[in-house]
Amino acid sequence: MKRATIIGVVVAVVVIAALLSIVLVQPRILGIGAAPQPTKLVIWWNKGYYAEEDLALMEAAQEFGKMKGVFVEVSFFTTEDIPKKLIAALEARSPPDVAYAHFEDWMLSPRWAWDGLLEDVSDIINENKQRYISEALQTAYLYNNKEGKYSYYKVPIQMQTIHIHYWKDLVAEAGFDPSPEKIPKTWNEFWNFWFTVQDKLRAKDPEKYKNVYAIGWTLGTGSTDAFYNFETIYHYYATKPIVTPDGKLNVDDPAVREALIKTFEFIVNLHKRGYNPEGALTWADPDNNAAFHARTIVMVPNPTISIPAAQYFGAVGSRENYYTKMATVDWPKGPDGRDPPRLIAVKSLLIFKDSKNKELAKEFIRYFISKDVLNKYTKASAGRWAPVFKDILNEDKFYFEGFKAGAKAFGVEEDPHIPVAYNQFRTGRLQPFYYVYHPAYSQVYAERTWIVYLNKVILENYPIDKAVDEAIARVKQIFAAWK
Amino acid sequence: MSYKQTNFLGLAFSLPFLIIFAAFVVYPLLYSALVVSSGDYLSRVMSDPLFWRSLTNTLIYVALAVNIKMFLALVLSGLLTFTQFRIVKVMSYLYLLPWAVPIIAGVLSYRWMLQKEWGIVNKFLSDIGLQPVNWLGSYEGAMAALVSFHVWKWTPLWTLTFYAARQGIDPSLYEAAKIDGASMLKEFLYITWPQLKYLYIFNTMLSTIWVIGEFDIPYLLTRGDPGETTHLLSTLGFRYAFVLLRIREGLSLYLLVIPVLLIFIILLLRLFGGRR
Repeated sequence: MKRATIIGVVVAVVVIAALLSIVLVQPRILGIGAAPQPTKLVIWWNKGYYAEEDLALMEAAQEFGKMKGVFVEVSFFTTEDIPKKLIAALEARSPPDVAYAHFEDWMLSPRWAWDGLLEDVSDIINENKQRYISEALQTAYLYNNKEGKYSYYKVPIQMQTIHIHYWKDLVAEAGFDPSPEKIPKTWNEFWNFWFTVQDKLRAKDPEKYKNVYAIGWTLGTGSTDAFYNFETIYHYYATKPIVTPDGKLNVDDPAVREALIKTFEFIVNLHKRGYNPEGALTWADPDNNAAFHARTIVMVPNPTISIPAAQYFGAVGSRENYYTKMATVDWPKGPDGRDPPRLIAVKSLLIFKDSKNKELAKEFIRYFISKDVLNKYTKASAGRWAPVFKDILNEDKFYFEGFKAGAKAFGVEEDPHIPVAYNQFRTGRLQPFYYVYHPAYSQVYAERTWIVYLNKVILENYPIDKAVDEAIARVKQIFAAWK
Repeated sequence: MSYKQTNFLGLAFSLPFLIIFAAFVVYPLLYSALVVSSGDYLSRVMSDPLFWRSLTNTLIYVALAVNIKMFLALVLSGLLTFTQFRIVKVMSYLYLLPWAVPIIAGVLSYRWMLQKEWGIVNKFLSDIGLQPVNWLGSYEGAMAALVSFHVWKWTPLWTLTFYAARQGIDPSLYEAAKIDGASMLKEFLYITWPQLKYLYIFNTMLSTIWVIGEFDIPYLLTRGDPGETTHLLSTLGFRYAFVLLRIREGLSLYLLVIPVLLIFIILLLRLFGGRR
């Protein structure tokens, strides 16, 4: 046999051997000849903002693994990546056993429940029903169009709402008393206060403050903050919901149209009058945080308290800023004097119909949502998230005091952020997002329908009433397609 | 070695590539085509006004980015031949830097530079008495940002190819032209360009194929903003698949581009084959 032929045969053999090794060593890849495997629980998790969050999950996973004698494989993905990984895994019919993704609530799980891709977790929910804050639990009750029924398709673990943070020293620089109790509590006075702060700062030192703005209001269509802000304002103006609790799209009601127009007018005016950075049109979710930390905006509305937390942990800024230069205040009363609505985004654990170890996944979730384990995880996020269980939110003093212990070192008595932020969940009316009433609305969030038309008004001077009518028409189209 | 043995050896060596090509190119394409042909996904995509806007944007982006980049690369490759000047040598090293900078770092820096209120570009404009521009907050500004970043990032690569080709031109041709009193323009028109024109066309077509599917720069720089006006077909397909959970529409959008790419690839191969 000639040398070349020998080489050819060797190469062919190596290739075939490589293929065989894949088949034999990793039988699940090809799905053939699979030998019995030790049980493995696969968890895909949204990477936390802080290392402590991830560590808390890892500890819980290890503990569970020891208890059950199984191997728990935890993979962390960034907030942006995990939805794509899950979408691809579902398409390939190989999803993880348990998944946790920060953006699942608005855009993913309502669709997946509708398509029958999620496992019914009513058994876990029923065991824990008494512990749940009812509005938070409501978000897990979704419609399965395949089976034609409503049921619990996810297990809520934590929630967020929008908080307002501001730089006290910039307010003082403008000549106002910056203490939180002095910030106006009524609608017009509240907003005019921030506008006046900007005006005064610029009048005082035009060069220094020419690029400092009153408010950082995210308007980018790629952000979730933009629609969070939008719907918060809508709930202030609305006397009727866009989608009724029985799932009816209500946009033909003149009261809804009127509230939408007022919401558009409010945001457009805020931006066009120059009290919001022009660049906010392209802001993604982290950009308002960055602008605030850079002290280029005096006040910022932001879901979760990630902004003060970043200062506390020194990711940016300092603990001194956290205790002395910044403050968190509640939203003002509405234009009609009503208490502010608390729009809550609830984050949940998912098990998929195609998950390999559904029963084990349920056992893990039962363990993870037990009071002590979940509380440890939630607290590790430094108060960024709020517990959805009453026995945690109302019993652990952390959610009343925050980091009070460290305050004295900076000459203050109280934590200026966490108690205010958590009090928002205990007072006023909690309001889930509209996808709870009809899953089609999750597509309105995915498309950012209201924000796209809001941008159109700002960019093209498009008339607000026409933009609202066109946006309504688009929302109707979306709902019509969900049959 | 017999013909049969040669074939066997060739096949054996090609096998790993063929397997990979089949698994990662042929199979996904066939699967996508199969999936897309099972519904009216294509017509749904084409009825979306955003599709036509994205198509227009893609055409504008490809036409401007590729042509500006190729023209600059051709000119700059000529400047790099003036190696007798030390500054040219130094500049030629610096000039390659954009190519070496990772795209994500480059794009994020560029976003900050173009920021309306605090970006260095607007600071410079203000310093010379001009009005700041809302680069990423307007359609025209954002498209200009996309094109300019692409040109900044990729011109060095194509400049190198032209520079290498210029090294292959016989110097005696230029010497003869100089003796005949030819100007630099005439040297370019009658010596350089005839030797480079096929490479220029080849590069333009190859770059067009790459840029039609370019995703990273538009996704990182504008993400379709402001107001979903700057989507290209690549980012729109991504939006369908991974934002709106309409994977089949996303696939059909990408498949729609394939015939266009195939035309360019066939033309390219014919041109390449003809010059071999």
